[in-house]
Parts: sequence; C-alpha cells; structure tokens
Amino acid sequence: MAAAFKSIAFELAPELIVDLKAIVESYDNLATLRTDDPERHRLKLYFAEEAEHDVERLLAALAQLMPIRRVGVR
Amino acid sequence: MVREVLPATVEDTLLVIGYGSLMSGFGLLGEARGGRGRLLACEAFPVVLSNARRGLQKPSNHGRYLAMNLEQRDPGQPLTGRPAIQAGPGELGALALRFERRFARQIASREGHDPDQFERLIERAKRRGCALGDWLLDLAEVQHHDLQAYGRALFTATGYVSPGYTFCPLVLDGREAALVAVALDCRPPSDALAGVNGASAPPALLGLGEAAALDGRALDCSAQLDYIVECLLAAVHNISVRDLTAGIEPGAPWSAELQRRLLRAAVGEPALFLKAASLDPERYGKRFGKPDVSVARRFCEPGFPG
Repeated sequence: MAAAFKSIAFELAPELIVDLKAIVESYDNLATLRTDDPERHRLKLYFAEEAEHDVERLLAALAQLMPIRRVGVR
Repeated sequence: MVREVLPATVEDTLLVIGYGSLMSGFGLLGEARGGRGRLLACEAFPVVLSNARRGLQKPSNHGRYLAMNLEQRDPGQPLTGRPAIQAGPGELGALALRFERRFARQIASREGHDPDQFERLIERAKRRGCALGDWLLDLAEVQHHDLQAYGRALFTATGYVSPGYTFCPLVLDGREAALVAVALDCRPPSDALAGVNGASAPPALLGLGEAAALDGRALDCSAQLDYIVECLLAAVHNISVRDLTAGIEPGAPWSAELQRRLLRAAVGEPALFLKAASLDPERYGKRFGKPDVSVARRFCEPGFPG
C-alpha cells in the first residue's frame, strides 16, 4: 500500500529559509522542504502522514523563533 | 543594558557562574541526561569573565567524556567578571545564575562535590555572618589568589577535597563574590586524585574541536558531542563562545554530526532557557537580545559565531 503524504505550505522571509532548511534536514527523513512559489517566498513541507504530529510540533517550536505564516494544509 | 538590570544581592541565594553546560537551558535542565542534574535558577544574566581561560579537561562525573574547566591566566589575580553580553578581547562569555538556597545539594551533586560538605561550607560562612562567596574570597585573598594554594587552604580548613569541582570565588563587578566550579588538583602530590572514572585528566585545556576529535576508546564520543552541544547552545543567547570554537576545522569528520545535534537542540533551546532561568521573554530580551538559532547552522562556517 502506498504511503500517504501530506504537505504544509507557508511563507517565510528569504533570509531565514537557509536556517529552516538546515533545521528540517537535521531531523533525518522527517520531512522534505521545497520552494513552492519563489516570488512570494512560499515553501512547502512534504511528509508522511505518520510524521504529521512531529512536523506540527517542530513547526510550533519554530514559529516561536521565526515568523512562519501558514497558508494552507492539504 | 545588562548593567541596568543587574539584580541586587539576594540573601540566602547562591550566585553561580556557568561557563560550560550551565550556559544553556538544554544543559541546565539535563535534557541529554534524561533530566538528571536538572537545575532551575531564579535569576540569570550574561557576564563576561576576565583573567580566565577555559577548555575541556576534566573527566566528567556524569559519563565518559571531558567536561569544561577554568584556569586563571594570572594566578596572582582573582577571577573576575562583569555583567555584559559583549565579550572584549581576552574575555569569555558566561552566565551568572542565582539559585535559591534549596538547590544547594543539587548544585553540589552536579559539580561532583559532596552535598553534605557543600551544606557545611554554606553554614560555616553563615556562622561568620557572610555569604559563602565572601568567605571563600577571604580564603583566596590570603593565598594571593593562587587557586591551587586556595584549594589546599580549603582542604586544611574543612578536611575535604572534592573529587569533582571545587567552588572558588569570582569577583563579580567588583562588589559580589560569586561561586565558580573549578577542577583543582589541590591535595598534596602524594595524595593526588587519579581522576574520575579511572582516567587522568589531560594536562591541557582542550578546544571543542580537539575534544571532539579525541580517540574514542576511553571516551564516549556521543556523550562528548552532547556535552559540547550543551556548551555551544550559549551562542543562541548571544553569549560569546568564540574562545571555544576557535580552531574548529570546518569539514572535520565529527562536525556534521555535531551540527545535526546542535540544530535539533537549538529549536527548543530558547524555551528551555526561559524555563531554567525563570525569565519571561521581555526580561530575556533586555538582557540577552533576540535568540539566534542561526548559530547552529553557521557553526561550521569560518568565523563562527560571528
């Protein structure tokens, strides 16, 4: 059975993207960060459904440190 | 900025200077050790230390890794500090922590010092009508601030020598004697300590890079990296650790794993620090500025932490 994937889209100031990418990558295979709309600094995190809780916890912690603006959950 | 918020001396508290793992919330709360050795301060502010150099040297009381130690640059002068966030040339960034008296036993245990003996030291100072730091400073002054001689004098006065760290005085802002835990070899040579866990302490203070690259047969490399993370997280709070990171080679074999652990810990560090130091975000901001998690990413770049 194919794994179910989810994604979260958000916007972040461009100068902070490199920090976010490094932090996400430090959580081995938790999620993948992709640029969704470079002009609007919109990014997307892709992750397996079973990782959703951990991803949400990580984003909640990161939101205390950098202005992450969620723009939708699919 | 920091000088304005320096708290007044508080009776029945212990002012301790953290210069290693006590500089981060991750370290204070013992996150890497399952909460063992957890300490909660009632006050914290950044300080810079003078007449001091630090490095990894002392076999830890908590595992097979080297922990931080402090030495005087000039053994004839006291260890000193001032409340500040910016370290000047030759100064070290550190953290002043005020603890309620009830944490005395935990502080002692964390430093590998017998808790009963530490209680006796506090009571002894109290009977003299002074704070522990002031009494220890009197002892050190008699020894012309030679900490090795101070350690021997303390041994003579109390009959106890700590197998871990010894509490030494540090003159803060010229007006209050804080406590700083230093590993001294203060017994007579014939009775010298063999070192914790059967290991002898290396003769020199090691930089973080040198310690991380040590041969892993005697040391638990993973625990060593966790300890280094506890120390480096101070940079998230803008506490200068330049002296520790100088000489780190970007691209060293252990650096990717250290950076990975540092990045993961940095995310939670600001919240842990607020909790461990009993600070609210506003007071934190006045004293430390804005937390900077980007130091975790920049760790392996030349000039870290900038």
